[in-house]
Amino acid sequence: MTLGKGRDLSFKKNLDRLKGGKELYYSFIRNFHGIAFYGDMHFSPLLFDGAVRKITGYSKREFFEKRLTWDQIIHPEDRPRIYQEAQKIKTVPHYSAEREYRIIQKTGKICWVREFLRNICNETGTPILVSGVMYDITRRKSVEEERERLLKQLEGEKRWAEQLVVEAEERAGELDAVFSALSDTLVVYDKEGTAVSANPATIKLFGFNPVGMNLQLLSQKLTTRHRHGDPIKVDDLPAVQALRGKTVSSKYFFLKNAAGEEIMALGSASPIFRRGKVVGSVATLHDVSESWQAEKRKDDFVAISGHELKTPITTLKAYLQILQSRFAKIDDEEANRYLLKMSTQIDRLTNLVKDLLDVTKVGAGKLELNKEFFDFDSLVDEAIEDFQRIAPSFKFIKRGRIGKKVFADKDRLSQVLANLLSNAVRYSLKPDRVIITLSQNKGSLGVSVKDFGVGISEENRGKIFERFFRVGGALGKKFSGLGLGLYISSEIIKKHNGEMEVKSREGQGSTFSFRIPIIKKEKNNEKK
Amino acid sequence: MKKNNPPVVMVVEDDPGILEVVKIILEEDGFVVVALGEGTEVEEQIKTKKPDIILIDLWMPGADGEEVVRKLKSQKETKKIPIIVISALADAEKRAQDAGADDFLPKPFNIQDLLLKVKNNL
Repeated sequence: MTLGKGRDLSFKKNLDRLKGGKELYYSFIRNFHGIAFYGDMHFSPLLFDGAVRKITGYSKREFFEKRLTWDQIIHPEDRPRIYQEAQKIKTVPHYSAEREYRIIQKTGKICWVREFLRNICNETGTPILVSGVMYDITRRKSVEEERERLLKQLEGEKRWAEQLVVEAEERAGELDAVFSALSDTLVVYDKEGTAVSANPATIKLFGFNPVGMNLQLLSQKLTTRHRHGDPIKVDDLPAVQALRGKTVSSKYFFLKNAAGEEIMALGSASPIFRRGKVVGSVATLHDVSESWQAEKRKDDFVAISGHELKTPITTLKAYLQILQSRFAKIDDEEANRYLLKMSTQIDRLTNLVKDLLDVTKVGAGKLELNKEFFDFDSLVDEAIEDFQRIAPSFKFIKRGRIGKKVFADKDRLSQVLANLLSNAVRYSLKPDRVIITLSQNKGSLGVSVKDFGVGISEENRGKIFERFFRVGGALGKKFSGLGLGLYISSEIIKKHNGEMEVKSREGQGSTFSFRIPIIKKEKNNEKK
Repeated sequence: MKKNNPPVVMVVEDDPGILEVVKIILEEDGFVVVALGEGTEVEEQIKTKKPDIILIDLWMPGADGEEVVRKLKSQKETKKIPIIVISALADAEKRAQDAGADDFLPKPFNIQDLLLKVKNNL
């Protein structure tokens, strides 16, 4: 806009001159939500109206009284670019600009403004004034900023999601490989118990594909049975128990495949959870038929061996006893001594064979107890008498008594006592005492056998009841045996629902003790 | 049933070593012994030798000892003859009982126990 030459630059007057414009102007300005302005080239506002206080925080009067220049309230970070553009405004005729920047309100709050301005030139074309309007765009700006932020976040999340997909695909690939390569069967069941997927090993073992069949049908088709032969109730199947949220590990059972072959398997199952709820289960079977058959063969072999070994021993023992009676008659002391030694060795041999047989029985879970009522004190007395005879230089001391009849396997408990007493003698370096203590406590009887022999080292104490465990080193060579006695004894006690334990000090001796619950003498004699 | 004097003991045992020593032990104690090496001969020999008591092993080739005991105990003519099972098998005692035997002697045995059981069961 150019003004007339030489005219007084009184803008207000000029504006006033506009016919009827004043009222219109003021009503307009009162409602205007932006700022309309005229200013010089140095950011001084010359005319200023509209929502001045609203946008800047200062009133018009404050601006003029304090002689504030506009650039003073521009945000320092935005000032450089405003200054830069100011150069153009100062020099380029008829320049107009549209820009956004921040101002700092009186309160210190930041306000985004969008400014439209143009310069006004004099008659020579030199820019001398600027005029324009500006609006508060803080809200829009903040929305924009938020949008930017969200876009960036989205971008980041998108990349992260892509990464997850890649990882998931890799993982799926791995699982697939495991699924296919696994030699154990793996079947996934849905929550109704229907097989939804089965790996190749399953199809191979079963002889058919179980997918689509439910567990009831499957257990029928496979004739699943317990280790001892009874059919397994569907509810007891690991896969079914897993559907109830239970993880089952290592349960033995038998099944027949499509070809009718008997298979022994070790089964496990786990539930599949999604958001805390069971949505299915995964079950695996490990074929142990080979090892089971091998074990069976071994058990059969041992049983037969036992029988075969006992046969010549029987003959030897019989002839030995015939000789013993003959030599006793002629009173050949030396011969008698030698024959007694032979007898001891044969008994030892017999015991070794018996131990071997017992061990297989125990291992197969076939140790059966023949319980009867008998006088426990007498049993202990008998055992002590026997050992006092066998080891006359030892002193066997009995303390306490039970005083009532006990319902248990007499022969087996006698075996346990013999084992403990023989160990007490065997593991003493010189003849000493052996103290046998009987006690009663809360419905169970307790027996302890204390010796003053070599004792058991701390590291061995935990293993002493293990099958085949024998003390090693020099001590092991000194004391022979198969290492079965304590294992068998502890199993016998366990079968009686009792416990066996040892307390020992190396070099000082050991106390082996067991306790078994006494069943009160009742009228019914059911075998447990 | 008329008892023999001296009593006749039938011993059925496939191991010759054991069979021989048992024969010696029993004969030394005054018994008459009929020694059989397998279970198939039992029925025949019972008819001719008329034993007062039978000692029999369980595990034998040919006729199964358990089967023989069962059979003898189920037949009218033979069920009164006392039978003692002598066996090295682990679960022999129970099997002997189930088959109907009158007593049981594990292997290896003490001579005294053998003689005692024979006398008790006659």
